[in-house]
Amino acid sequence: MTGPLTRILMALALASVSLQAPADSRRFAADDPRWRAECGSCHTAFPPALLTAPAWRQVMGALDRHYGADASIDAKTAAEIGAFLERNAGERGRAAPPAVASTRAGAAIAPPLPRIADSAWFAKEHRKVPASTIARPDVGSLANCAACHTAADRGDFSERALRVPR
Amino acid sequence: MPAQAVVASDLLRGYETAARAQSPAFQGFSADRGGRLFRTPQGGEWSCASCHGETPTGPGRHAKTAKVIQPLAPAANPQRFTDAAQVEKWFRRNCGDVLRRECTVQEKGDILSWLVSVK
Repeated sequence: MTGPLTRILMALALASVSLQAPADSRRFAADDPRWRAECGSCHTAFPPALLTAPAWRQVMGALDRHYGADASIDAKTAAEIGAFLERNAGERGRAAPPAVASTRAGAAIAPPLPRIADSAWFAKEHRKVPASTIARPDVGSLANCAACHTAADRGDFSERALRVPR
Repeated sequence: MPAQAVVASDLLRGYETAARAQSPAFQGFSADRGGRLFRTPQGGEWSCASCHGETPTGPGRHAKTAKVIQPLAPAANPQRFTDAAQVEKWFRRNCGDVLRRECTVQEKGDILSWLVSVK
């Protein structure tokens, strides 16, 4: 017999499942002390799942020209962090695809580095964030995850830890 | 194994020894000169202060990512300048970003003299 109470309980159970699924996909467990220390000094240590393995290889192969800054580290540390990133890298679809090299004849320009913020997934997740919020001095950049994601340093990007400054 | 713990004065002594070995005309480090160098762009877009802030006892903010950077002056942040390898790594990279070259021992000594003088 399915009385009204049973139906309400079932609906609640289904609702909690559908609420939890996206929250879990915004939590990242992969952790490594070298990644945390080296990648996390100038920006949030971005979760490895947010780029594909080829994209991480491209980033780690050009640390001396890292989005406008020199982020070079010793070869041993770079290899260890690179292996961690690739081991925990994301699949195509959610992670931004690797940048495509220029095919222009004679072009000696290095291909642009992949950006997490360029992925369709990232754009969709942040579509409701007004440009004026990004421009605030205490936010300043899409790379400043912790400005809104208060538990970003623990890999927790869930709604629960989200505080958009106003 | 963790790097041997040092303090800023150990590093300064090391820079002084290196500077004397490089040039018999070495006149010592100048905190004033270091402070000016820290705050002044050196032909490029950034100065040290672009990310570390004008006041090294307070936090800075990365000029590109806007991430908060903890204070650089040991008076405000005792963990600074306690690992020689880290210090050399950051000088190498950040001097490259600000001056488009590595800093001289004189420049590193001047900057560090200024940072330890700020209370």
